[in-house]
Amino acid sequence: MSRTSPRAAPATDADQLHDQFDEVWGNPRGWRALTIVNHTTIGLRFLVTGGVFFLVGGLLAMLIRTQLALPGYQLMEPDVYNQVFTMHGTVMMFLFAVPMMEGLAVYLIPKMIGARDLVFPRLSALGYFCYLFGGLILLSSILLDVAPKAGWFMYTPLSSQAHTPGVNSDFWLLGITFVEISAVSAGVELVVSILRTRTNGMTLHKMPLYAWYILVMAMMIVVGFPPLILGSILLELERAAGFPFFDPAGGGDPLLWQHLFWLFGHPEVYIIFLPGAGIVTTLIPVFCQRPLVGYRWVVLGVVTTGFISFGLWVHHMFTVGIPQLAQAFFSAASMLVAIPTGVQIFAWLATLWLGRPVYRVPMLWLVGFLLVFVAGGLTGVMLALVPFDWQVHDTHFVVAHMHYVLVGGMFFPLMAGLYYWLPHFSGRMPSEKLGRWGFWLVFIGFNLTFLIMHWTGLIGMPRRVYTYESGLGWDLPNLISSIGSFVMAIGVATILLDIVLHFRFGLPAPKNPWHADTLEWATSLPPSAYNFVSLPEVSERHPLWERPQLPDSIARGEHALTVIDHGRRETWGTDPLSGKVREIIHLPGNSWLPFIAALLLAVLCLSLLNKAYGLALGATLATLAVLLRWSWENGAHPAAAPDARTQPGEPPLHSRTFDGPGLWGMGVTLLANGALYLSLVFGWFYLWTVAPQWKVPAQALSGWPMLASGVLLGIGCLWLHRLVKRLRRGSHDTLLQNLAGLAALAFIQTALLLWQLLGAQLAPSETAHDAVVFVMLAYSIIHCGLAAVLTALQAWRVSYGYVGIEAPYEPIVVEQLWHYNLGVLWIGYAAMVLFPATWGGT
Amino acid sequence: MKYARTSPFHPMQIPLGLVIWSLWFVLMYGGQAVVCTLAPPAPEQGVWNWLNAGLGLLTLAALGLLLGLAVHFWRLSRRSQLNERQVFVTKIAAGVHLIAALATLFVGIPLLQIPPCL
Repeated sequence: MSRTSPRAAPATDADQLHDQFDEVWGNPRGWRALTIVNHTTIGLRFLVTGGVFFLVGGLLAMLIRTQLALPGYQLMEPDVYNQVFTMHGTVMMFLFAVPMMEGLAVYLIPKMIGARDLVFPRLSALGYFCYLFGGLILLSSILLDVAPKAGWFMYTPLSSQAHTPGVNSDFWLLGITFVEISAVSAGVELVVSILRTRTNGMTLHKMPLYAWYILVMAMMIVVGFPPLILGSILLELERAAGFPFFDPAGGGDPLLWQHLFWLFGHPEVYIIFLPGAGIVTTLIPVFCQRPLVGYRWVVLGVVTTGFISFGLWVHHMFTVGIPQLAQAFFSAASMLVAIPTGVQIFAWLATLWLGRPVYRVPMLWLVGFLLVFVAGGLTGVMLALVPFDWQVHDTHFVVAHMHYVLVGGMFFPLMAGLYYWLPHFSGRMPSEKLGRWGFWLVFIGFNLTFLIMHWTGLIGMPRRVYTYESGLGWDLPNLISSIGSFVMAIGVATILLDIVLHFRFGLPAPKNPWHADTLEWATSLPPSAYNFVSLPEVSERHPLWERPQLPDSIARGEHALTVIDHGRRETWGTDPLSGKVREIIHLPGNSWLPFIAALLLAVLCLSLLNKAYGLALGATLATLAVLLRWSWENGAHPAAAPDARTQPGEPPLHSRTFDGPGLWGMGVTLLANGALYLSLVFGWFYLWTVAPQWKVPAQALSGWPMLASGVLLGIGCLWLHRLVKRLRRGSHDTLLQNLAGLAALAFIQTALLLWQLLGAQLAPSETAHDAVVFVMLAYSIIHCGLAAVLTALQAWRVSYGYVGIEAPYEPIVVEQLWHYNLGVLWIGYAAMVLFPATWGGT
Repeated sequence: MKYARTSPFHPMQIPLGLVIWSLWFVLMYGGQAVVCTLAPPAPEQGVWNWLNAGLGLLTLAALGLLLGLAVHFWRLSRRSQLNERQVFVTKIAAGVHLIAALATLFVGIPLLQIPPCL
């Protein structure tokens, strides 16, 4: 299906070649900088924004420690204190830790795997702007004195309307959900990029271990964030519309929130830790100048950690009255997760033992990480023991443990990584002297603050109290912790000073300044927007150690994919296992669409906060229109790749094949979507089983419209499947008519679901039963309606010639949504209609 | 070379063992919670009751399946004609299945010690 043409030969002069690439890939300046979609710029924006949020979170921590420094001291009123500690946790977890780690991965992954960009550059930009706007909306609540104040995990009923009236909790629920769009979108594109855009020959077992860590982290985000997104939607519906999901009087249960939160919350700890461990795994071999011991063992450890971390969530709920046997399952799993983590630690220690480590500044942070994180891990095993957990639950011991794990497991490796990659960002080296001062001040300050806090907790000081009386034995440890926190703050200020000064006074970085082995050091320093002017074949784990001249030959354009006169941004599309080139992935260029979409989503968020539902509906429709326009500029569209010609010997463009990143992106997105829906199904059965006042209406749900809708959808799926099969065989006769017919069928099928919803006489604000049925039906209606719109759009694209035998790819992407909808609809039918009529009883 | 999803050399085999473990874990926790709500065994039966027995059988079945698959992948990885990539996938898959089997055993042990609905 591809055509090849003998275009102009690649430029022979390297400078000329770089100029040509700059024309296609270059970043605009001024206002048009908002259109940049390039991963290097987006990654740096994530890092800088995350750094600013970190400083805000740090200032809030200083306020907390100032208040607690002396008994009876009142710097803040209790209500303000509640806002401050809630926002400290929220900012650090949602606006700093995850976005920073994702930002670093967004920046590094394409460079490490020898690609020119991530596969969905516009999604990267959308993710960034959602993060920025969501974060700003959340932070604005502090200035307005209406910040969330129910703790960073927002337990119901404290966060519900009855106990927290006003918009405080709404800021959290809407702001965090907005920010999570960013996390999930980055998760999706990191998964697809790692699996499908590694450079030619980079097999799965040769790819850098950092990419393994990010692959597992991104998959964890994809599966782990949706339960919280669902929880936030349900709680916001309860607060705004009175749907009693968490209210026992209406048949709900506040513990459902805890389950949904910690289903996300515990994997979140590992979502933060794994990229940190990935940095450690990347840096230790460099500073020891030898390969890491046990590549395969580390891969096993990372994959195992990713899975087992999902089996621990109930250990946050040991005191809520769960049967002992269930507690034992989670206690055992909580202890178990220490083993794969231990495997990684032994691999690092063995590498240090066998190598000759050089203690430059990044290495200091790594040693600090090992000490602090192992200590945090050990107290984690202590907390996994149910009787011990009961004793120290909600005390400062838990706060200390959490900071040892998170600061040790994330902040220390992040600082090591920032110092290590600083020459990459700026082209200059940091100062050894200031860097060492910064490390020691933070290390000493941190341990002074949090080591002592273990004892403060063991002698009984609960977390989140705004002050305490003298004479309880808490005075001295609190004072020491407060002094330690200020020492730590001075350390952070020293690091900031070092980073700022290095941009002016740092020595110019030589090529590959740390003698690293991975491909990101094969770019120029700082890198160009396209990373590599030619894409090398890589068949070794340590390409720059085995071929130190590789950066030069890449820059001279001696490798592949060097023709750019077609004006397309291109990178390799490779096989996930073998890394062999399958197709050329063409990437979209700079665009206003992500910025506009994020801006409209911000309007949606603000209008929901202000209960301006008409405006919210308008913003939703406008966002949908922008996103549809986004999807329009793909494939054979003039703004994408109207000319499919490639060089002789090169594979076809992905949009001219039956495979490509969009197919994988849709699959991974549906995985996230499925996690959200299964969480909802879990909530349905959970409430049915456990909620103390669960009420089933006397009149059972008549499921006829839903049944008819399910049958129609099944017929539609078969129809679409046959259509795609014919397309694969090379026939596209009546494609337009078939797609139009399918779209009409999807609209009818969606209308039947709407009839089911409107005709069911639900009272969602009175019973949790009806509220869940409402949400499940609404979920299906939205998804089936979306499938109808996208299928109609496909038919329209056929009429323009953007889809057809030459560009047959898109109907396969849409087909996945149809199959997903079919599965969801039948699961919903089984849960809402068949289950109550058979085993559900009343 | 593209492998079918059912091929033992497809990268999807790598996490399979822990997917099985996850499903087993959900069934154990969910099954125990639902039965304890709807039809809890008499507390005086201690650990020797039908619920623990049922969960125990489920555990043994999962354990057997995981160990069997671990052995299967290990044997595959030792075939002489495999290339480096195939050895990597089969060895990692064998390891993941073995780890999942050990995790199943470790998490299932409390069935012998604790009555289900206390």
